[in-house]
Amino acid sequence: MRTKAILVLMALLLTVGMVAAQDAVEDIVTEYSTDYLNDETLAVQEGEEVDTSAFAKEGPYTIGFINWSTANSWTVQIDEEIKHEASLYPDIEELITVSSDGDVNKQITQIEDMISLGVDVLLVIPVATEPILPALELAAEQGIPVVVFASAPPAEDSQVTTLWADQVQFGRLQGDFLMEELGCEGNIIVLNGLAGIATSDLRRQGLQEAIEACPDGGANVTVLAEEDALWAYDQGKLAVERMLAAFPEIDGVWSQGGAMTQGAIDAFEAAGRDLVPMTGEDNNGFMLAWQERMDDGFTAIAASEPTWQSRVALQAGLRILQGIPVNSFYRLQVPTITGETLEDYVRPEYSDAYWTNSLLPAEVADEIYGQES
Amino acid sequence: MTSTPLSHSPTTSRSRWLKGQRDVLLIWAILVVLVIIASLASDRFLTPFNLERVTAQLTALTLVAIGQTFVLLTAGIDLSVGSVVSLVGTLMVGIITDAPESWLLGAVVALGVGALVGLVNGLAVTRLRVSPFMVTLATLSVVQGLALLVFDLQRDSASGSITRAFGEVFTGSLGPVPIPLLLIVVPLFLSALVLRQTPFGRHVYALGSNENATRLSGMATDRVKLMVYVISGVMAGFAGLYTAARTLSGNPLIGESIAFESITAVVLGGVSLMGGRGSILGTLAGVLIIGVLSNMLNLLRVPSDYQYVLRGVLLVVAVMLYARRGRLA
Amino acid sequence: MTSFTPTTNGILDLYRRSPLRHVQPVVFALVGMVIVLALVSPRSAEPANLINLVRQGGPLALVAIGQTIVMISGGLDLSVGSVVILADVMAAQMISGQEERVIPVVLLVLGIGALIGLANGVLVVLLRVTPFIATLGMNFVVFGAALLYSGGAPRGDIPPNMRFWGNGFIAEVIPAAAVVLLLVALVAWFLLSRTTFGRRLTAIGANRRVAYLSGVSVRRVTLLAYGLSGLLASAGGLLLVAFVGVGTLEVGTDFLLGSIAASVIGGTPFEGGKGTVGGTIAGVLFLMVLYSILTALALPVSGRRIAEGLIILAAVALYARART
Repeated sequence: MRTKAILVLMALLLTVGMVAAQDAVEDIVTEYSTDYLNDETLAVQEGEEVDTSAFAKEGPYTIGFINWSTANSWTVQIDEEIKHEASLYPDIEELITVSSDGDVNKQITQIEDMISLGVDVLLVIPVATEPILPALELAAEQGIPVVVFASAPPAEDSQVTTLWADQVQFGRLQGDFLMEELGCEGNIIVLNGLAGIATSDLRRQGLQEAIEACPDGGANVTVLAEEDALWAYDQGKLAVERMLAAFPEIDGVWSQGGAMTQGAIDAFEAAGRDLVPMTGEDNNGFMLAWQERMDDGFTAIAASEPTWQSRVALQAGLRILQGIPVNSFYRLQVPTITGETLEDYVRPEYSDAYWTNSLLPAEVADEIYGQES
Repeated sequence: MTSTPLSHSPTTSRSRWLKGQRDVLLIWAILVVLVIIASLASDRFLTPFNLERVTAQLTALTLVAIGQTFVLLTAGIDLSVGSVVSLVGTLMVGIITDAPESWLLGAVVALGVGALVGLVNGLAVTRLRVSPFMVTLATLSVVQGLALLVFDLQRDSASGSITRAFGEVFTGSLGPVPIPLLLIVVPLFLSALVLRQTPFGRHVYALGSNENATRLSGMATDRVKLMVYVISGVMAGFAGLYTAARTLSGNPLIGESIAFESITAVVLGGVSLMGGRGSILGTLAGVLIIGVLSNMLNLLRVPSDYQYVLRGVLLVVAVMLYARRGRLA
Repeated sequence: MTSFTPTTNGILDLYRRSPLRHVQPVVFALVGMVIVLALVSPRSAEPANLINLVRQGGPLALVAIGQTIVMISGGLDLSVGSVVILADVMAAQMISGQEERVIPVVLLVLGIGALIGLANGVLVVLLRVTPFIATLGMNFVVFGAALLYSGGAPRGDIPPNMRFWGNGFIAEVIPAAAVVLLLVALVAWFLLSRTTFGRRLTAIGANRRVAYLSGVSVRRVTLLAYGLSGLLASAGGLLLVAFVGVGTLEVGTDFLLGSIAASVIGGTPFEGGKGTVGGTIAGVLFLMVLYSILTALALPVSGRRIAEGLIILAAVALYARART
């Protein structure tokens, strides 16, 4: 009887011990932060499960992050999100972030330099897809796991995992809205980012699909003019001013977003022309301008490329370093902001530079984007 | 470096030659100091892997900078080189296949396209008498447009990337010597030879020193000018070919920054924008300074915003060190 | 120069003898471009739209006038693009929508611009760094400063009294920005053609050594030229932020290449020694009309770039003949 009780007790202790031991190897992502990577409302798993045991190593970790640019507010917020996420983990010794300034060549150099540096994991937002593949393969050869996100994902498996919000879909959503507003009939003008940059090209492709999806194949939709305005206000406004001067009838503006759409709104108003349906992105500046004009019948839509994805990419990187399996592809779930939902996203207390699809905690966002009044 | 044939007294020509040597020595000294700092500051800098990567990173820039040196020596400027690099890359995607015969065709097209753009630049500068800045700004735009056009057409036909075997020709090694290193050293040697040892080279220097005097002395200035733009175009075509092999793809923007960087490298190496002074050896030092500086800042984990500031300060300080020595106010 | 065909020669002869010879070639190029615009898109060439081009070109014109001053002296200022961005970010953040802050902040930002310019001048004149490297280095430093100052996330907006100068119209027809430009141009014109500074500047650009030997204070004049360029670049940034309305690092306009191109088109040679304010402004307007033509042609991006290059080449080639 007594022996039996001891045995039971021992078995019990063993179980508790095992559970406790399991707790000890518990994922640091869930320990110090919220698991966004496996949150189906943010990232849906696709592709196959990847065995990452070969990459498993003890901390502390050095994380390398290559942002495609920092001279625009979206990329800056991407930096802020990943900096904040990294600050949550005691296991991260250093987060090294550099910017490629939209230059493919510079990005290749940076990838190689990160390999020389011997970072534990490399996170990259590609400027362009194909040209950086050989450099990413070099990282793989050197045993450095790579996580690619945003922009356009490389087609080959040079990276361990990819996180992506479909950019073609982004342009398609905007395009579908515009086609519906116009009843697939009329003249539109197009504002792109920069031809040759993957994001810009893919979004434009989405518009083309939307036009061709019209019942008559888009035969009654005319693209009057098309310009690269670098997602910037000044170029967006100047381009639309010129288009307004040249074309008496413009029924819709398809803008890829950023501050260009604000430029388009201001150009229409300065020329004394009635606003037409426009498309944009979830940057606060555009959404504030939109909200202000909603009562006057201005209609718009905002697609989104969430800035929280840098956090999720970091979490994927940390999982890989712990040898926890990840999936080869995560499709990011992105809300589309319409006239009805606008109010839930727009932030009057923040500056124009804020992007609303963010997971920055309020105190951090207040600090960076709070407006002096 | 080489004395101009127009210097009347042997003493001035000798002192000018010496001054040229001193500039080159100083810029190399600065490079050496930079390398020492880099290797002390980061134990990663002198690793074989890193040095090999830096070499690969600088090959295209070196090739373009060689051509740019010829142009700047004549007091010209070539802004179109970046677009040539981009256009050649996009063209290679359509041409290069697994068959090695296609590689030869690719090389011919690459150098041919470069030569053609250079010829147009040269003709516009010499025949139309338009300033080189405007001519090459215009061709920059046209050639960039062509690159975008080719890129668009390819996207429709979805031809994709360049075969790996082709890449290895340019990025592998010949025995123990990495090929990118050869691609740097051989053209450098040849171009230095042309500039120092041939009548053409002397004419290039003479043209930059004093165009009117040179023309009056009966030299075919237009032919020399035409040639330097063709050389610059061909070198850019070569750099485009190399870039295509390194990236195994074509991209219409990939050359965008190389024109400006090459001018920076050449000026850093002691070539004056007003022409006439400088050398290939100086250009090489300029290229290496740019490359080592960028590599060092990355290896030291300097964040981007501070990198801008540091890069600016270091560039100016480097030039300050050798600029202080005897130059007329 | 080389011989022309008889007819070309005749026309050129006629031109050289006519009072038109005093008109700068760029003016013909500009008029020619406006005619092309009117043919391509009559609406774009209506007076109201043409006047609007002056406003659109305002910020670039201010920067380009500064660039011209430096180029006349035989130098080059590669830092203008970053100075524009720094001025824009600082002004928005410090003004933060407060009308009464506009004047002090504008003065402060202009002062900072001038200081940056003077720092360029010191590097070039006293430390003998070649202008290309000195101003390129400064460009990096100032851009880094703009990033650090704004923390990458510029905030603040411009109150209506300042926005008026970028966007508004006086008497509903004259763009306020054009008035700013006109005032600046008059002062710059006076400086260049009616003062000893202007004469000395030209002398330095034409032949530094001769100028030095004939007693021109090369250092002081060159220093001042860079200071003015910095000042005008920050003025361009202020006009741009008045146009945009909020502080932003995302400036799409290429102020560097644009300002050099406008100067060269306007008759300032790359190697210096001459150049006029009027020519440079005409050069800026030339670019604005060019962009309008390209927009009206409605080409895809690739075709647009090709057309842009060909038109620039054709225009400068045509008037390069007239100039010689």
